[in-house]
Amino acid sequence: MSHIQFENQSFSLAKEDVLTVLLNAGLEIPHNCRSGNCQSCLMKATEGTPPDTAQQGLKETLKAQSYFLACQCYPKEPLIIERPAANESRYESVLISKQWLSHNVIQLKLQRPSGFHFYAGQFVTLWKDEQLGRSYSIANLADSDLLEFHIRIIPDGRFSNWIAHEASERQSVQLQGPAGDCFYIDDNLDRDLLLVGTGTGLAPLQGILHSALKAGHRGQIDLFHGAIEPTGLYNSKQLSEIEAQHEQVSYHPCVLKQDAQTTAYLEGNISELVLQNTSNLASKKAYLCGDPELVKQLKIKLFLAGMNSKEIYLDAFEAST
Amino acid sequence: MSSLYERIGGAAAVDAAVDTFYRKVLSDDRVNGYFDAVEMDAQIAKQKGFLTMVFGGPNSYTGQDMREGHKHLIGLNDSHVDAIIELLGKTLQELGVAESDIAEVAHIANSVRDDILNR
Repeated sequence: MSHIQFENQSFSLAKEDVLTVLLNAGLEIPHNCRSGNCQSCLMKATEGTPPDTAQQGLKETLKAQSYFLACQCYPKEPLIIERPAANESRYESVLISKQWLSHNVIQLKLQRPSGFHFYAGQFVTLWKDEQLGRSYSIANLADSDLLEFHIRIIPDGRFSNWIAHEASERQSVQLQGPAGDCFYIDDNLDRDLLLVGTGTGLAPLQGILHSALKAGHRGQIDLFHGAIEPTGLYNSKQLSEIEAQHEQVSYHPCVLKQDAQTTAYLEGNISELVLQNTSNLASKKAYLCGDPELVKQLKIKLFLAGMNSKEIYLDAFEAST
Repeated sequence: MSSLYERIGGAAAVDAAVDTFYRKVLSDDRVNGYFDAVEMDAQIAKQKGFLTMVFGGPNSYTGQDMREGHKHLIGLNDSHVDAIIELLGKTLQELGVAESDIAEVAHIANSVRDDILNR
């Protein structure tokens, strides 16, 4: 006999799985195959550890956050569980600093609210007020008192222009989240990592890179950052320094177009550049962040070239004004 | 006597087979037009359900689901079902599944042919 708590109700389980118990209680829980494959009944344990068998087939980043499949879950210990998207917590924060990183990217630093925990590379929604909020990835490590974001200034973008032109130090900002499964897991320090980002897709990758180095990652880490022109390759000095200090790190700045005189960067379509400059995809883990069409297409290309689908993490940045 | 699903290797075998199978499907011009590659994770979850069924495993597929799930696909005919069964067989060969078990999987896949083709 074990016990679970869900939405302020307690349930006792004899031999049934969690899904069956919740459905028998008349609750509406999404589900389909009931054999652990479709993942429709994904839930999250906020207290207690779900059994391994309830996590079979899930991505490592979901396992790390205590997600599990209700239909395969026969708890061995008491669990408090919630629906997968239930994390609507909002936190109060204040703006600490802002600094231009390029002609259209601002580095924004906010104070990390107490009790706010995250994995570097996850994203949050930043709220100016009740109406206006936009999602951004966290670019720094989880042990800092600050949260670093890379804000691309979008023409007519209401939030980004507010940050660029109106918000000043001590401005209060609300923060909601964190969310997303695009972050580093130290399950295999020798696995090669492929990090590919366009524009401010660099932000989560920077967080992932720092997390990997901090964990003592030994496998090769290839970071491809793509921009239309060289001016878009912000933070390149800092990244070149990291490359120089760490044997296992290779930084590949890529541009769609550069002057005839310069050959400092890889030139062309970033997807093709990645495929041309990487090998042994079957044993790599990839993180792809930025332009939605590009990262989704690249995911398919990497999969067809032999990469394991569960080892490809995606963070598609949908832009809105 | 163990079941087909147990002999193939159960849920772990589904996990191992799904990437190989779906990669073959997306690379095959006879059938890839019927698959939306962009929503890859959702598609892979669906393929896992399909593999579990044809491996004789626990599943909740019904003939009606098969009919509803495929009837909007214009031009779908026997040649496409044949191609899928062929790719399924190649996937299982690569995983070292016995020929007699592969034949049994093909038999289960064939049993839903009329539902898939809505006839």
